[in-house]
Amino acid sequence: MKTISRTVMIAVALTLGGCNAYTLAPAGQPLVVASTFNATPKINWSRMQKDQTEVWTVDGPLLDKLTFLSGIKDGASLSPNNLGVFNQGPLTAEGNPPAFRKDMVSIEIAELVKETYTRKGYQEFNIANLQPDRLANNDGFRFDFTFMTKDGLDKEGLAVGTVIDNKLYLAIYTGAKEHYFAKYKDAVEQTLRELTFTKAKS
Amino acid sequence: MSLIKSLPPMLTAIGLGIALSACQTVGSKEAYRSAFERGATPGSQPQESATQSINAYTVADLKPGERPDQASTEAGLWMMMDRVEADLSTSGNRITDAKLNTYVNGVLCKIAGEYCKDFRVYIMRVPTFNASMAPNGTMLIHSGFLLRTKNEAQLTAVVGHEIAHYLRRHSDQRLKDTVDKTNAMIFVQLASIAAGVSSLGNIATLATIGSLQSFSRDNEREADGYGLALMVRAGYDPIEASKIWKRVIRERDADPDKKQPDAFLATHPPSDERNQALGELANSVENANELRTGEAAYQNAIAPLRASFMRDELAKRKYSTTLALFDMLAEDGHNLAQVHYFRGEIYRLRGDEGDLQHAISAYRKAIAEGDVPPELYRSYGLTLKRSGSMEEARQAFSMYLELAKDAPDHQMIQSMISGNI
Repeated sequence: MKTISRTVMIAVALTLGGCNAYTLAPAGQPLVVASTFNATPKINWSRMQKDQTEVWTVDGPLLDKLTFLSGIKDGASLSPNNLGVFNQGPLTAEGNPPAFRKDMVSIEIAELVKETYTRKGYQEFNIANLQPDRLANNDGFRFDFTFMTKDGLDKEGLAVGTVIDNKLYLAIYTGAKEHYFAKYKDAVEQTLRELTFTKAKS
Repeated sequence: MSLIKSLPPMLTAIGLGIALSACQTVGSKEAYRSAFERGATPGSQPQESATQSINAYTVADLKPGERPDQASTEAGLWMMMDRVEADLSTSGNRITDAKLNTYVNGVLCKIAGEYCKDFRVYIMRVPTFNASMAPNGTMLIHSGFLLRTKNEAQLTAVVGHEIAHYLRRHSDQRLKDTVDKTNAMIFVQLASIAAGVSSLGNIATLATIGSLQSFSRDNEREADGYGLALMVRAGYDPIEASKIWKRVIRERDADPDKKQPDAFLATHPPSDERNQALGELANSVENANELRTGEAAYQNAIAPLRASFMRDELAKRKYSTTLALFDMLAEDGHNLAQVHYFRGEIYRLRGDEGDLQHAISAYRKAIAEGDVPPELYRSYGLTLKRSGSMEEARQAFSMYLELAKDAPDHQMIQSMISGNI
């Protein structure tokens, strides 16, 4: 049963990822994430990267997913390429996509994340514990959140971000509330705490 | 009851009205009028319809509680829709608020009469102006529709329209029409897709049901006229039906792209035509202005959910049309504090030149009206901070924290008050 589930997950992941494919990111081996950050995985992750977006997962992105969104410019959405970062299926929601604005403060960026998820069809999105934090040695923010897929799967998430030179850098970790989110949370938090920019940001 | 008795004089008046406006487009006007007359005479069976597209495929109306013959293609459609309905019933988008559902079902029964039990209403949290009826009596009402209608009469106009599609078996008519055009499978496939796509997402399911509902424009005109008759029979002021379309037109005109607000309307007769035709029919009903609109009851029913409906509109980021919509809500005059707050939110989110001051002004108007949500003070603080009024911003943030004891962003706001951010 577990094998079947994993096969389905991988098939879904490949479909969502288009031509991109997952490769191994071994524990303890430093690497460059989203063409932007130096990071060291604490466990073995599967990684998929395109431009300045990167997704890590262990059991499949529907169950656990660490996403790095790097260098989001003024006017751009949070899902700029086809890695299926926020996707959960086709949708035809009316209107213009939520977009980052360079003068947004943390509260508004949290709203932007919420809107991005809800416009993709996720429900019951609630933000908690929005507070000052640091990302890659820069002042920023973090918050926790919970939401539900359209099929009723409860999920948890955390986001850490910062705005530098009018560009948004954001790491989002989500996982099924049951078992998966907690399973990799410590490994995620540790990796995020150690992130540094490959090139110094002013 | 007295209304039903007085229908014949009404119809005479309608006839006179039609005669006076005979220079109008004959085909479309006739479609509305003849449907209205049929709807005003319960139990009458179809005779000559006003348009050929309906004439050719006329079928007997469904009787209360009737299901199609199991061997028929129509029954196949119903079965597929039954599957879609099973998924809808557990959809996360479904608004399950008991009071609102009871209210809407009650209104439906007022105009559906003995057909009441043939319908199941599903109110879906989707911010578009839409309502639809599947062939098996599954009725979808979008939250965006409930936000845009002003009163119970306007709700009955559209519910009546959808009931007419069901009673007049427009799906079956369309199926027969499609068979004749050798594309029968397309229709059946659409239904199959609707039954199968529910695992892909509610929006896709809704869109496919919408495709099934793309009746001919004459079907739509017939449904409009029939629906109007149903609302008059139930004692609602028919002029409200045309007012819906005035609101739709106003919203459309505010759209920089000048497009219809959504795909639903693309398959229907033009809003301008519906506004005019329904208005003329309503004006020909005797003593129509003595009939009720049910505004207070309607507004009370949607009040607990209206803020969430407005927030969903904001999320579409179609600020010009949303502003036009909120302008209309302001003119309606219900909960002005809420309307001003959301107008402020539009300006804050849009961030165009001058919007900062518009936002501050809107928040102040909301505060002046009283009874505002705590989040208003957070938004107010953000705009004041952005405009450089730091002390006022701190006061607004402090008010927010005072009102929202469990604020999810308490620590961040506290840092802002302390001047650390």
